[in-house]
Amino acid sequence: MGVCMALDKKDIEKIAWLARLAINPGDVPGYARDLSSILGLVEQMKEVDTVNIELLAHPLDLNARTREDVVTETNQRENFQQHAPAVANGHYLVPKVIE
Amino acid sequence: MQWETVIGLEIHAQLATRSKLFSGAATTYGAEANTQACAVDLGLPGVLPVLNAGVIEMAIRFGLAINAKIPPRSVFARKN
Amino acid sequence: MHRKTLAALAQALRKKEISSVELTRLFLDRCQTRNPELNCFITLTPELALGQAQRADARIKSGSATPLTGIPIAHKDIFCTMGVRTSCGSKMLDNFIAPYDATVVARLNAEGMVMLGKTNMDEFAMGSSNETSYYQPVRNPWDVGRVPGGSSGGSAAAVAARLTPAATGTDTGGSIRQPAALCGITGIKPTYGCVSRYGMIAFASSLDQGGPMTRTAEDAAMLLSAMAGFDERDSTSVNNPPVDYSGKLNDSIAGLRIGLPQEYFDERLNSEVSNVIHEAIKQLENLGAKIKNVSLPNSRLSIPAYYVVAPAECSSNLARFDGVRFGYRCENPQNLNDMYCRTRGEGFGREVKRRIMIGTYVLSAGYYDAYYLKAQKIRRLICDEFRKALSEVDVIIGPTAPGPAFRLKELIDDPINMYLSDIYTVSVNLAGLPAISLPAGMVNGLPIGMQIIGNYFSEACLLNIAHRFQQATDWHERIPEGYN
Repeated sequence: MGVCMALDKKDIEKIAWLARLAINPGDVPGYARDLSSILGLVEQMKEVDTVNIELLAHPLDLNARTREDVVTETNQRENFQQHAPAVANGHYLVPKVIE
Repeated sequence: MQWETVIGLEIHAQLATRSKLFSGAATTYGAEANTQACAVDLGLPGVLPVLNAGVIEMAIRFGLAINAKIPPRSVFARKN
Repeated sequence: MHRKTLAALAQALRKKEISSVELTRLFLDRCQTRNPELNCFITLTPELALGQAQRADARIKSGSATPLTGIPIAHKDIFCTMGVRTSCGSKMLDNFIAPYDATVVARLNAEGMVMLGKTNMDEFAMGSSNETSYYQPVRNPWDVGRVPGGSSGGSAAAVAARLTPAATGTDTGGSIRQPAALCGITGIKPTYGCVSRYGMIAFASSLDQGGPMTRTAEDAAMLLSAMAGFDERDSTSVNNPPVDYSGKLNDSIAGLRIGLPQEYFDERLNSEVSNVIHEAIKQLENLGAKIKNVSLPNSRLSIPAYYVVAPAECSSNLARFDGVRFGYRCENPQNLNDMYCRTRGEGFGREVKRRIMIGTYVLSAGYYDAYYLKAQKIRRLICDEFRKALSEVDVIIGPTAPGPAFRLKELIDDPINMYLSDIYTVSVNLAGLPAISLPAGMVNGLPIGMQIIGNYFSEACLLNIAHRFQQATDWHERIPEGYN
């Protein structure tokens, strides 16, 4: 097995912040353990040389299809907002951004 | 020490398309809030973007107009 | 009546032996009585179903019905269904009433099918046992102390227990095929791009694919014909001419070349499972198929590659769940960041958070090349390997899962071993190929599934092989004790 990527508390906190996930301090060691073992599993990829291999983004190597520049949608604001967490006058309400 | 001033201009220009970049929603200036935000624009669960061909054409035209090179292949990359 | 296949029900409705309303009531009763012990359904939709059934009966009467008109179906709770809760098995969407129908749902509604309800699933389709659901695990009708498989566990268990004649599922790393195998039913993951993903809540966009879960290949063909097809709202949807997947069902399979990868049958495979599969393959040989050994040496890298690609893509797809426009929002957010972090911390379960974090890590600056890019290159190797093998044989066969259904809680705290149970299925998603799982035998009273992998867009061929097998065997007709 190659180098084991062990993640520690600081790594988990950094990743959790990037992903905007609040993690209870008590759960951090558990996540560190789980993520480290998953990364250990993933280290197996190093066994094969892929220097000259082209990446595969789509199984059939197809390109993204585009659409013509025409308006096809109608105003569905009431439909979309009826179950939103907080709306007022057609706007979505959120708490203030920290200064 | 000698200092050389280098000034760059990052210019954002809204493309004059009829519909949006990834959806068929209208782009009319001055419309009421969220009346032109369709399911795709709102990122509702399950929706998928489809790229507007008009923007590709405009981008290529602009590139040609300023004598830039147009690569045969372009990809989307997500800044993370 | 609940034991009838889709094909038989279609006939019964056409011959007016039963009405859609009567049929729907029958299944709704079964669902209401038996669901508590299996927990297959998150939401049952009796009023909606009866309304659809009435309209279906009117269509049948006026002669404008299709073969699927009036037949009940259950949808995996990953498909948006307008006006009905679509939870994706998560607290994050517990209050989400979808404002639109997924393309798959709209197509089956247009056929006149009747929706019984939304089935339980692993949270955001992440899991292989249906134990990560916010709504509690689903139980396997063959043994309620065991898992049905995942992530389409609710759909698989509901079909196996005859609570619904058919259900929809989705498959990102095996989530249609593995639960089909563990519950003794038939499930097919079509070629990437065959079935529209619009309205199918995204997990890993380059791997996800929706498909039918039924008791027979004949039924799967009927459903797939209605589900598949070009959709302009999905830019990865392939624009091929429509296919009648039932057209080749009865073709002879004499001369069919079957590849058996030596890597699938190594000493690590449970010998009882191996025997079941080899017996099943003998049946296919009796029908005229020829066996050839093939090798897929890079298949062992499919799990590591998958557990980079899938989490990476999921971290991107699940970024939309932030409490702003829909779904769960935490109480009393202090500021915007607090709202994002606590909404997501509280709304997502443990497995989902694990995967989002792995995904975030492998895409982050400094690690992108070593992980995501590397995994995409390995994907190319795996794909090329399959293409080469499928130029020498018509299909590749092996077990769907390494063993029969395991016990509840057995693997839930052991993510690595849980992930390894996908060993036969994930490479297929990485390559975008179609594959079917069908009941091939039993071990200790539990179903074992055989997986048949085909070349791109060969679904009709896979269904043909499965149908011929099902005409010669009766594994697919077995019913779990207590559910007949």
